[in-house]
Amino acid sequence: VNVRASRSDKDARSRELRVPEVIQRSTNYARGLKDGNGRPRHRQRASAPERLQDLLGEHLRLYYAELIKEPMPGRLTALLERLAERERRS
Amino acid sequence: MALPDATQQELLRTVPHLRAFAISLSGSIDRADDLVQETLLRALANIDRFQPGTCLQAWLFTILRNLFHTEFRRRRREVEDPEGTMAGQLAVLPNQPGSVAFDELRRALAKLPHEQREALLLVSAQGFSYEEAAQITGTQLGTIKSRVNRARARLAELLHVHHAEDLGPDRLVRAVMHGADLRG
Repeated sequence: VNVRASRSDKDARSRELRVPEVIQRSTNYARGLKDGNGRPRHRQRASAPERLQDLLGEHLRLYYAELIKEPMPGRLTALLERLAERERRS
Repeated sequence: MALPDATQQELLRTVPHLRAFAISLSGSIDRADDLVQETLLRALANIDRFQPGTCLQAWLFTILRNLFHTEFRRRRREVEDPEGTMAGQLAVLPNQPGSVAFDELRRALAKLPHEQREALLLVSAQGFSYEEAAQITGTQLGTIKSRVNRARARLAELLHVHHAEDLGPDRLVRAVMHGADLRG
């Protein structure tokens, strides 16, 4: 008696045991092995140029935030007050 | 035409952002304030053209940007502010920690071609999506993406940063955030 399972038996058994793809994908995602699209997680880590771009962007946002804090000149404040007053009356 | 409360509030909230954009775009505080003032007056005069439910901020930025370009064409022969000499006019920045780094950035920004500068400011600084930025500048999506990429690359060149480590967080960004002297 040939006790060795044929390749087709093995494949069938393997299919039975295989974790459904959706579960496998979500498990990999939960373990941090894959990203939401099923790609290996390490591909999500920013490359050096991307990190540089991110930091440049961050630096730019900080600079811009400081500009936003700049005090308004009198003429703009007066214009905005007139605008607010006009709206209160209307 | 009376402004709905929400519109008015949003308009008032947008003014500092408009001003920051105008300062970065024009390189001059006085011109920036003229631009913001003119933008507000035009917006109020044409408020009936604004479609409720659309982005008021993007609409205001479009008006300001168009005004700037009209003025830019008129003043084309005037020298811009390549060295960012407006720094002396700013009340907040020179007193802020990390202003050395901001000075470098301001000078570098001033050296970018204005199409690249506005694209970078709209997307990277102001946080508009590429689609919104394309709409504001009246260009194609691909054009705006390309301008932002070229602006980032040029900015990195001008700041002499070739690796993330050259910029932060160990050096520049951290210094900006904590007030350390970068050149120390």
